[in-house]
Amino acid sequence: MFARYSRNLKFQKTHFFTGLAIALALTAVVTFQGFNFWIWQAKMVSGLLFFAGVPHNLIIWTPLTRGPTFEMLVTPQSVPLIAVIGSLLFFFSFILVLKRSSRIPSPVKAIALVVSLTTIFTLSWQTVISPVPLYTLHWVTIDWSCSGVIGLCLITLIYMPFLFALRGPLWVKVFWLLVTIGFSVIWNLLRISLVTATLYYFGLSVFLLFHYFAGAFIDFIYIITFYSLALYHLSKSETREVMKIDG
Amino acid sequence: MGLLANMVLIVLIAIISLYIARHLRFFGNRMFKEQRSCQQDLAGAFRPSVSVLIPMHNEEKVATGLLERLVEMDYPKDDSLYEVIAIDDGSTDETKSMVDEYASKFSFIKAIHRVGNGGNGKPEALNVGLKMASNDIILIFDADYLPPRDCLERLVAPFVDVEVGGVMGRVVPVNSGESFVSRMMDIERAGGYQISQQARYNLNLIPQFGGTVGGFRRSVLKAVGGFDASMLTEDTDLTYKLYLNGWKIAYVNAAECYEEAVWSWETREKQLTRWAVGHDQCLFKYFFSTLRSPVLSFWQKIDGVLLLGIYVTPILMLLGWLMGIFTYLTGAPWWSYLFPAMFFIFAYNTIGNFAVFGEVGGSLFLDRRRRSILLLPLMFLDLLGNVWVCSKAFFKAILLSKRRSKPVMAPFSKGVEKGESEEPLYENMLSGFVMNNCSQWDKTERSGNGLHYYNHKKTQTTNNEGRTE
Repeated sequence: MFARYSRNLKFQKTHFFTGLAIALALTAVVTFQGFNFWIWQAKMVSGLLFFAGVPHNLIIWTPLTRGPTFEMLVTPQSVPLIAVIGSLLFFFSFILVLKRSSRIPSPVKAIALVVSLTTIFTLSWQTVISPVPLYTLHWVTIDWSCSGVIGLCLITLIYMPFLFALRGPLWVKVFWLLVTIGFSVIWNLLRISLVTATLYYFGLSVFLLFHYFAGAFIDFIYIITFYSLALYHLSKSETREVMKIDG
Repeated sequence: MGLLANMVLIVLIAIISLYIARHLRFFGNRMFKEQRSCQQDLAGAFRPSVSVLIPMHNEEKVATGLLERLVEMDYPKDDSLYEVIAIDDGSTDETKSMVDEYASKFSFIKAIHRVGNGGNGKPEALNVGLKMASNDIILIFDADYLPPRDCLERLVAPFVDVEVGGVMGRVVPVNSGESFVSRMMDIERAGGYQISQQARYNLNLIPQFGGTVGGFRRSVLKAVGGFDASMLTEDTDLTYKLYLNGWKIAYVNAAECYEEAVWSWETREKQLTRWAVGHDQCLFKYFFSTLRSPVLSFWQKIDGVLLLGIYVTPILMLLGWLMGIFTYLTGAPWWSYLFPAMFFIFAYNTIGNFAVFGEVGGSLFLDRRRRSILLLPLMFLDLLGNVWVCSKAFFKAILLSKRRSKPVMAPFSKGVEKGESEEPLYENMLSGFVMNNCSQWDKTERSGNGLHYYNHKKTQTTNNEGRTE
């Protein structure tokens, strides 16, 4: 039996450098073929948008965006002042309720706070500053296209020390890395399609909120989820290996 | 305004990157390097005289569990070598009678009963116990802990090293299956002790005394002035006092002790608020003295400062999210389109401090607790909860630190008539707003079922009709 207080693992050099090689290869592909990947991605998104009945123009390249983006005719809506005042009043009374209630779990309070703040900011900005924020569909598309690609490198970099270096079969590590990368690509396609369709069907306010919440938070959740599944699988395989060695 | 937002974003990314690097270093060290054993080969052979202090306030549900364990401890029951001092601090339940019962049966168990409405708080109780203690090593256990038989031997072994002034053992929740919250606490504890504390000890950084399952040399405690009753986390305060005076704390991963983790969000919020406020108090008190210390090494100073700021990182995450709102409304800053900058911004926004999750995952991997690994994504909820609690706690700590350092009587408490308080009005308002003073018990509620979990028994409950289920 092992003693967990003193147990440590042998650093899996071969596996770690395999992971590093995958990371470098991916970075090279991203650097030299990134533009082609974005175009492929934009065409896939365009197909999804046609399927959803969203009229749009796919522009492969503009001097401003330097990459593929979408054009859509959207009339900017201004948010009535009464809606903003109402939201502010609701927000402050909501915060008061949250603060006083000890029965509401703290994660719910945190989510409510972030959602409320974001909504208030967005509505207030559209009413007071401009109905059209600087962050338009062009920039959202570019932003998420770039972040989709960066995400692939990031996933590999995370998996290198936290998965590839650990004891266990290499095929488990490579399998879960590829699954996570595959999910990341598919999710990015869906995300860009959804945000564009949101703009068309629900308008600017909802588009901005969707853009904010479907970004960083969801990336975080799916990366951790796949990592935990990979680690679980690896731990199972590692235990089997140890049992075989110990007889 | 845009320039300010840019600067704030850059600083946030830099700080979070430091923490990521720190946790990565700990992960690598704990997972792959040889571990320091802190003289565990001497456990059982080296037996200095020990005084075990147990501060208690209304512990009738849990008191007998710990006292029973201390009676069964593998340590000579010689009064000159081993004494247990139970400090009953103003309890209003059966704690007094329980403690007296044990004190009458066993000569090495001593009882101190303090009277007072609500008690005077854990630090004061410990100071009283410290005055009474006569042995060389002082060990502290909270009343709801369940140490195994070899715990004392393992905890005292590192004191054979003359540089060691204090020790800390590993805390393991025994009731992780009780609720979602207790499961989260269980895996958080695993990461914090198995990886973080052990790595800090391996790397000769600053492992922390956690308030229980640990102890000090009596002479060192007296030299640094005992337990500071003005601090909400006197354990963190003591850690820094020791290190700034040239002493070390040994972390003993082999000395496991079992606790009842909190099981509800409400209790968790109270507990975390206390820890965060106390830790932030220490941040204000020790930040510059840590950086200027002539006895700490460069890396100890860096680690010391990062450790002090650990409960501020959730606020930085919140600030980052708010910056994100501002940025997407005003447009991304020009420099964010440089590839490295894009990488870091995306990394920060996406994974924040993923390294913490990696630490927890690594600890569960080492412990071979496969199924608990699947709980990792749910820690995101805990992270969100921490953002809420730590943000509030930071402002409370600022207000609390503006008060005098000596303990202040709570307004409207017994003996202080309304309107006749010795403190100015604003102090009274602060007291009501900022969790009163530090010289009262701010306890985490326990169900008292820990003993049943420890003995693998199901809790029996009696329903209203008097039938046992």
